[in-house]
Amino acid sequence: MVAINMIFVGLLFFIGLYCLLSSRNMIKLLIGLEIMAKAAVLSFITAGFHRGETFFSQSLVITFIVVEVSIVAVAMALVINAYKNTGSLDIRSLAKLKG
Amino acid sequence: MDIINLILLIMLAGFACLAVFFKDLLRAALSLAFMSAVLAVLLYRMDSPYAAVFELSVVAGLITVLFVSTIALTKEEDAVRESRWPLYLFPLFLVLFGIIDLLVMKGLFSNPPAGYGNAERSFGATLWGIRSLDLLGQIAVIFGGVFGVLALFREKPLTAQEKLEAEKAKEGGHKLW
Repeated sequence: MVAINMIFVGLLFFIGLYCLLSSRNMIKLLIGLEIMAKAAVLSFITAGFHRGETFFSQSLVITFIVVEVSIVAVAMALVINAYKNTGSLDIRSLAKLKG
Repeated sequence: MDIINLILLIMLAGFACLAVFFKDLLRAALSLAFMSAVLAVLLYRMDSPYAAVFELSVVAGLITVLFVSTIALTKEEDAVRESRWPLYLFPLFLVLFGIIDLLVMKGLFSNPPAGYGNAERSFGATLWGIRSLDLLGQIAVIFGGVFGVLALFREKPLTAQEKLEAEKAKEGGHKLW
């Protein structure tokens, strides 16, 4: 059970990483980041379940979710600002920014 | 091995693949929301109901709303052109990584659990007692996020010259913002 969960944690992390490396759309990059975050959440809970410390792992996950929401909110604001400046969601367009 | 958990894990990986490979951003965001919902069910089944509630309400709800609003605010005429090779190479890399993953994780987690058990009797005692400093960190992170968004959307008032230029650009119809 735990080994299977951890195998899927690895797979999810790989899918998110692949999205980050292969995508050019800024929103798609954030989606990749979110998939990696879900792999981390599943990993925390599986580890807690494995050791019988579910309370501890849940408190860590709740902290992690709060951090995740803040990161996504700020990243979305950055994406909208970049779109206002460049008129595109292509990450390569940010290379033209100066100052 | 619980068959329902295995089905949920396969669904989780499937929705993750859909979120990555959907060209339509809205569909990708919705796949991510479904993924969160499936993860919440999985967490609930692993004796973690509080984390499951947070995952369902905050991640599947709030973050999806953030994604959908951003997609609505950034409608562009020409979608970003993605290269084709990641789509073709993905299955190969996935299988390769899956085999390595299987070998490593089976070796790491084949031992029986150490079984320390929950130190406190309730989740509340753990969160408010042992991890109380985390809550201060969470408050700091929330304020950091709020002020970060406010700072990024800050706009200085336009001067008369800039207003005139904006009007001209609006009439010309070639500037977006």
